[in-house]
Formats: sequence, C-alpha cells, structure tokens
Amino acid sequence: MTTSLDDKLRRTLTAVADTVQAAEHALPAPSPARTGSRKRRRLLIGAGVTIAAIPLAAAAIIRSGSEYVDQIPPENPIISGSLDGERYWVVDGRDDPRCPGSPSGIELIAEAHNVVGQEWSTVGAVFGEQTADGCPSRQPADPPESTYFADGGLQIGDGMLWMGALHPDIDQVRVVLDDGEAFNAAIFEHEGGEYYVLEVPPGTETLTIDYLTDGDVVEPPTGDRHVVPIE
Amino acid sequence: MLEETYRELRLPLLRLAFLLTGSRETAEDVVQSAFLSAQPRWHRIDDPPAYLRRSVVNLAKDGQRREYRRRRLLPPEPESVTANPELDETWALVRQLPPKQRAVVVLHYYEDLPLVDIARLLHRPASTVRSDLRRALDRLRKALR
Repeated sequence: MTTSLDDKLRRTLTAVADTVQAAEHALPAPSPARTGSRKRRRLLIGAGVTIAAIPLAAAAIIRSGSEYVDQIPPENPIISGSLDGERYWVVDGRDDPRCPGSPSGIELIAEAHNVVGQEWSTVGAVFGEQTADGCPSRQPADPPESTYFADGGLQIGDGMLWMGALHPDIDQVRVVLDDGEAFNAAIFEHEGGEYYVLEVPPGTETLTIDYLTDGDVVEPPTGDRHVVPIE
Repeated sequence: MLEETYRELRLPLLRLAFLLTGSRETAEDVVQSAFLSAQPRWHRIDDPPAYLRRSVVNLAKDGQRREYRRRRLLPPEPESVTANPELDETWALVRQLPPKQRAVVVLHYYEDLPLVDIARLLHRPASTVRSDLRRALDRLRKALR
C-alpha cells in the first residue's frame, strides 16, 4: 500500500507540475528604462501575524504607483543605521493617493535595494485591520484585539531588520536572539501608533519575539508562533 | 549569469511553486519575487538553485495564507488538471492537506528530497517533518480507500 501510494503521489505531482508551461518572461529588473509601467513595490504588512524570513515574504499588499528613487539618503529619517555594512533608513510611510485619511505607517529603505533612478523597493508597516478597499484602517486607535501586531523583516547584508506595528495594548516587545538573554526592543510613536525596529545581526539563526501587556505574553488568536528562523 | 539561471530555473521553480500553492497566479508571483529578492545579493549567493528553491518555499507559505483567505471567501471549483481522473482525485486530496504537510509531501515526492534536507529547508526538526509526512500519508490513504 505504501509503495502504491508513493508511486501514485510521484505520478500525480509530476503530471500536475507538467501542466505548468512557462510563457516567455523577462528577468524582473526594476529599471525605468526597461518598462514604462513598472509598479513601485512597497510592501505593506497587514494586520495580524505576518512572519517573513526573507525580503518580500511579508507582503500583504503591493501598492502600485510610478515612483522612482530620487534621493538617497532620504530626507528626515525617523531612524538611520547600518547593518552588516549596509545603510538603512526608517521614514514616514508615503501616503497612498487611493487611501485618503489613512495612516501611512513607517517605511524601511535599504540602500542596497534602492538605487537613484530605479523604482522603490521598500517594506512598510502600519497598524490596523485593512479596510475592504485594501487601505490601512482609519481608526488605528481602536483596532480589534485580533490584530495584536503586524510585523515582518527585510534582509540587509547578511543580517535582518525586523519591524512591527503594535496594538495600543502592547507595552513591551521581548526579544531573544538564538539562545541569548532576553531584551526589550525600543518602541517609538508615529502618527499616534506605536512601532519598533530591531536589528538582527548576521549569524543569528533564530529570532524569538514575545508581545506583552502588563507583563503577560499576548497570544494572538491565530496561534502563530513568533519564532522566526533566519536564513 | 543571473539571466542564464533565470532561463534555466524559472520553469522548474514555477512548477514547484504551483504544487505548493495550488495557484498558477500565485506561483508566478512567488517565482518573480524570489528572483527579485535575489538580485541585490546575487554575487554573494553560493548555491543559487538551493537559494531560489528556499525562497520559493518561504514565499509560497505567504502565498498559501493569501490563497487560504481567498478560498474561505470562495470555495474552489473542482478542477480537472491532468485529464486523468485518478491523478486529479489524488491532486485534489493533496491540495486539501494542511500547508506544512503538503510542503513535505511535495518536497519529498516531487523534488525527491530526503527528510533531513526538507527539515533544513523548512527550518523544522527532522522528527516533526517525519511525523508531518506520516500524518499526510495516513490522511491520503484513508481518503483514497
């Protein structure tokens, strides 16, 4: 029976895979010179639990637009830093014209992914449940408890920058890198919401994050664990 | 070098992504994103095929979450994929496996990866991967009776 099932699975998966035929596609290269309608890839991490071990994996929404990098370093960064020799900046998220009145959150710009003249490649975080039209919540001060946090990461060099937007009830973000001692991530306020940004050094194999309210770990209803293996 | 790898690996990665996500559209997105994210560090990647496969598996997990939400809103239509009813029935059952079990089944039976390599790829203990596979096979066996 095992052999028969093994064989059936192999035949099935091969047959199904063979139905995928590749159309000709150019290598994705974000250069305005190669296409006139490229999308600006701003990845907005939505409400709830989002775990990413590599860049872009945290995408919940890809916003479109035709904006290209015009200046590096960006103006008025909230945070500037460097990780594994590569510079990054956390800035006020850009407003989406489709979403008037919505908060813009924060946006992470890594120098290595953003070259002047090419399209933006950034990751953003904003708190709140998305509206039906895909915009951030316009009432971030009163979000449902099912949206305790929204977080995600971006690889910078061989390290990772991890960031998150927090439910107003969360007052502590406890971090453990590998088997090291726990420490608290610094929380900062932006647009009335609370955020944190965390550098995960190269060589880290596991990032563990707990979100706490009054010293108690918050368990999101989704049940996702927040132990993130790093590539 | 990158373009050559893209031409060589795009189709096998698309097939893997389709088996993992069950959606041709999501599979396209996943493979494009895998190459897009690899570009800035391409010269530092020692083993591009392994790196890209790992990216596809990780990105497919995110794609599966989106697909799951979509499926909850709109139940999937029965789909004839291979034109072979027996294989279509098995594929429909594989699609219904929980994402982690399905990933193990696809990586083991399609990619021919040993369980220890799958454990490394999925960042999960080998014992957990073994029990995922056992549970998946039990479930498929029961359904195929």
